[in-house]
Amino acid sequence: MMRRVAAGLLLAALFAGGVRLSILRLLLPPHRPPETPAPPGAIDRKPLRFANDPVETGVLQFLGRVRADTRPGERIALMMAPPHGGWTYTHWRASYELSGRHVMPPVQWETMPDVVALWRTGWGDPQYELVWSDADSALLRRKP
Amino acid sequence: MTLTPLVLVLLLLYGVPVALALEPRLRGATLAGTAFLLGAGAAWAHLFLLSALRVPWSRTSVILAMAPLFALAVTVILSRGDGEGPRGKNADRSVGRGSFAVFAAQDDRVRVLDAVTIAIVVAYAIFALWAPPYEWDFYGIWGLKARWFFDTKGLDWSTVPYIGKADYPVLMPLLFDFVAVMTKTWNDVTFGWVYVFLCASVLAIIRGMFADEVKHPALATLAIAFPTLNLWVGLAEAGVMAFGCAGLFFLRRGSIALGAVMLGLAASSKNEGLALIGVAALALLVTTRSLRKVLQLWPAVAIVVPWMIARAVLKLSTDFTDQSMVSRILGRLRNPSEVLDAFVKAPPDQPWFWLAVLAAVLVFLREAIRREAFLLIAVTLQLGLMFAQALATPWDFASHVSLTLNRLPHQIAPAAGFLATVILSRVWPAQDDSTGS
Repeated sequence: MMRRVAAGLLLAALFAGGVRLSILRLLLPPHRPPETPAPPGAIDRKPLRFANDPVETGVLQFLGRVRADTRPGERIALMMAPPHGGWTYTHWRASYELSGRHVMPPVQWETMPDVVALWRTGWGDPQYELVWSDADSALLRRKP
Repeated sequence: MTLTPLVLVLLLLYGVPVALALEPRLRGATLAGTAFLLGAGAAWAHLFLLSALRVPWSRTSVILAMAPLFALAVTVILSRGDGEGPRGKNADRSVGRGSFAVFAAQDDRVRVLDAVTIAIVVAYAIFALWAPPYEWDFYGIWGLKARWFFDTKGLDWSTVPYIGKADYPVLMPLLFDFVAVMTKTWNDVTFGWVYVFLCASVLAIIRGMFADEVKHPALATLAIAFPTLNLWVGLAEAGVMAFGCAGLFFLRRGSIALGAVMLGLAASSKNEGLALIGVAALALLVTTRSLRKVLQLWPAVAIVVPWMIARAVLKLSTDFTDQSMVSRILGRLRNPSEVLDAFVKAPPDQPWFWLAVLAAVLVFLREAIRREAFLLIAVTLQLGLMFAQALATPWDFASHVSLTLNRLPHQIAPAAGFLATVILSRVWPAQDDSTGS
């Protein structure tokens, strides 16, 4: 009898220990996790999709525009203002959004890039010409 | 509107004859779950093969490549005259009667419990599909590889060494690519469907096996439904979990060929799957004391060999096994308080579930050793290896433990939950209770 009671309790504990209310409540509107700012640096022990997208829409649109105006195989240098610059989550996100192109490591360039994409930062070099620019971003291409 | 779920259903249907060719006794939910996993494995294998042959991926080339295996499997089933076919004399010795049969025959309580499990899967589907898989490693590893290969219509061998974690196997990226090639579009939001199908497949296999073994299979399945739904959408954990746990379940039931194929697919998903092959071999050796049985696991090795060859040819090294690995491990073992401190500060996800599993095994240890020794050894060793691998990390130890040991144990969570549930379910129901299935 004691064994059966213990087994029943442990089975209940097994179920209770596994329950995820955060998943169950998605059955109710609005069918998405509550609005939560992404963790700093997009680093968390929890899955990131419990929070908002770590990269704002404007950056994603910028990367989409860079993809549209570059060709596969081109070397792209991304220069982005904090918090997006350097070896950040955004660098890998950009590598994915710009797949087929070589997103250069955010360090001292060993070879000159074909294209330089700027986000909220400035840069200039006489060897490069402006392709487009707006309030937040610009694209420069090496002169032939 | 996306065609992705339809593509994945077709993959499931493709896998039905393949599954029955490997294990004629499969039925119901177990057959459905197994069929999807084998269909997914076949999709990966054929995309890899096409790339090795330098044939560009297209909907036509992929379908043509996959047709012969389907035809072969159908031929094997039709040519079986030994009573092992679906209507053969041994058909009653089925592996997994499964929930489809149960729905038709059982009482309302069973139906309600199964409906609750399905509702949990639906909630998980909402979670998996509400946004693109924006985990860090999706962009740095799995999704990046997949998108690059999709752009180049095949594995770009010149680029593979330069994409993050180059040594990681490519089953998951190629599964994303399969979806993208078949739908002729790159829509990463729909990759959540892949995770829904992987997790639901394991749950279906568990449901079918419980139907054969415990009095309340619907309740037993519900008890471990949540730990079977992997939350790291976009990563390879769900692949190792689905193929690896299915492999262990089939080995436990004596379906060694099918179990070995599943383990091979787990090893093709992520490196922890390689360890699982060794762990399963050891558990099989200890429990059967038969080297012959262990050698029957050869399909697991055969499946992963092509990637190992590619790794060797392309010199894709892992950052764990470099020259200073031993000194890192020894250095950390000399400082056990730091190691323990990191483990204590970073418990695995769902810690109460793991404590319940541990308590179930310890309270009913004799039953566990006597009747579930294979699963007990396999789960214990694999969990031990997950913790041990952290000692070799070239990164900061505490950070590595914190960021990996919450999700890695999920790879084996369904097997751990199955182990605990099957032990408890044999003890718990009153002897005169016959309301289950």
